[in-house]
Amino acid sequence: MDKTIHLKVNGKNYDLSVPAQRLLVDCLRYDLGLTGTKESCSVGVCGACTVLLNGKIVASCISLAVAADGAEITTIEGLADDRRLHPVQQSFIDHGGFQCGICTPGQIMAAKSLLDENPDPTEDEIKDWMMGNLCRCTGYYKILESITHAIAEAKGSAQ
Amino acid sequence: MNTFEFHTPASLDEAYSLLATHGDDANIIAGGTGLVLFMKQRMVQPGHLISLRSIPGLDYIRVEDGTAHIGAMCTMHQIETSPQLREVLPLLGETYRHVASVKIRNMATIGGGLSHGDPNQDPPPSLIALGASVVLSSASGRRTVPMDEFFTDYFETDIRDGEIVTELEVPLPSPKSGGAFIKFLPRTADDYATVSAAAVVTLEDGGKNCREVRIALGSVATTPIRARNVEDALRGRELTPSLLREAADLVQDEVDPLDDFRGSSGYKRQMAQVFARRALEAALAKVPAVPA
Amino acid sequence: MKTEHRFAAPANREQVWDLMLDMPRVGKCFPGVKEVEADGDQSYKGTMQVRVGPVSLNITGTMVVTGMDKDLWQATMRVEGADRRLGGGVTGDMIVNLVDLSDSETEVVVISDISFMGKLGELGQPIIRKKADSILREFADNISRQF
Repeated sequence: MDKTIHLKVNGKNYDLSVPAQRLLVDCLRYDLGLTGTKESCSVGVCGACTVLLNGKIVASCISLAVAADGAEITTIEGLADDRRLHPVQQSFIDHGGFQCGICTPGQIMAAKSLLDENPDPTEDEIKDWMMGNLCRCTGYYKILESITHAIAEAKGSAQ
Repeated sequence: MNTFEFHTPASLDEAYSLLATHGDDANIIAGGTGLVLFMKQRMVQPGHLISLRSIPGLDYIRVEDGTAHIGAMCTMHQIETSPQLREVLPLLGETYRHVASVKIRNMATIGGGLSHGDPNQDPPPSLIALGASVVLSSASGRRTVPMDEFFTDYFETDIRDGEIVTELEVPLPSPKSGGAFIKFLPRTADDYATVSAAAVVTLEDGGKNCREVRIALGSVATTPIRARNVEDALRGRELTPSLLREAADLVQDEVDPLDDFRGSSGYKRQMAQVFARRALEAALAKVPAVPA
Repeated sequence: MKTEHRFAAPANREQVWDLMLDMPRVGKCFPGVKEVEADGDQSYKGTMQVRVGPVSLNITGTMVVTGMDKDLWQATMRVEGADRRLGGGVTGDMIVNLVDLSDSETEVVVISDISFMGKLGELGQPIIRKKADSILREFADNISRQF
């Protein structure tokens, strides 16, 4: 049964007709062509499909698109400001925060959301927050380093 | 996933009438973290989903008359980060913080989690220990069910046809009390517990003896359980380390764990004793010291 | 999955045996059984609603009495059922024995070997075993109420 929904994704408005069982991750990838968001575990554990829904991170692989009707969504494609990467994106590049890249969009969305809620987290707070994003390549040290540097950078530019 | 009709009622009354119309073929959906997974696995295949997200005003936190009233649509992350609740009911935030990961706690709601009836969830032991109750609303009114009577069997609750969980009521603990929730997690940090335990201990005014104690465990039976025999062994007595150990050992008569990949029934039974003791010790340690 | 359940029925062995011959009546003593009707000689069809955890099944199936031996006070039967919508089912063999306890009490021993398929099977044996225990307990209570 199709349902018409309205989504604002990365600042652009979309009116879509989707089947009720359409998952948000599929809606983003296949209906809107935003393939930056990945699907991996499909059960809300691994974090690869993490996107911001009204400013909060959610697992788009267990979210129904119809339940997101009227929401504002930000995906990895919406982070860069014009041609400048978001500081967290830049930091992941500068500090080797990824290898194969499948988990990276989710890692970056989760890290961005941490900094939105808590601009000066302790290392334990970073680990606690990032616990829902799995990476099978880096061993996590590089991810932690990338986030720590992004925080330091943000603090430096604020001063 | 099978297809279904997705309803977005604007009020509870509209939701009740949708429930009445579609009966067994309908499921209430809140955050969807439990239900959508079951639907993806085809364990549950409803013809109608009735969403509560479209109903305004179900995500309040109000503290009045010694009780915290928490709207069923509050997300778990909301509870975890509420400064108001941290002040008066720190155990709530400490418990909800353990559920899965942030992205799940941003979606999952208080009411949805309870309705799901999963015996492995983190919040129920703490809610039982705190003496919380669930408010169930329907077209014919509302009733309040104590948390320790709410779970009836494996993924089954006391929610009757036509009822929706609308509120959680948590009485504020006495100033002479301490509470703790601990979770045994031998695998990964976002896993369900192998065994979990929560305790709230209240001491007598100016004394060392235990005035009141409640202890509950998760993942040790088909429902979360309250260990009344442990409580009985402690009430009115001085909580010495040896008494806590002796009382915690009694928990083995109250639990009936399921064998699964997180541990055998026998192992969980032993861990229940260990974690019951640790929860009691941790709760006791949090009772504010008597001013000199 | 093999299970064995025993309970005492408040009647003598003859009375319990007679009840056992009345399959539709015995069938309805199982919680969740909606209807049982004869479908040929010693064969019955019926529907049963079972809920195991999150899974709610409407099982349609048949039960065939494969043996009735009054000398041994033993009946054997085979059940087969499936839920078309969710894709799950059960097949199994049951042996029921009646043991004389006194003039007014008979022990009913139910030994079953049942296989679960599909969604039921995915839930795992420990939880199914607990459910089987609770179904048999309720069955025993309902049987006792027949006297």
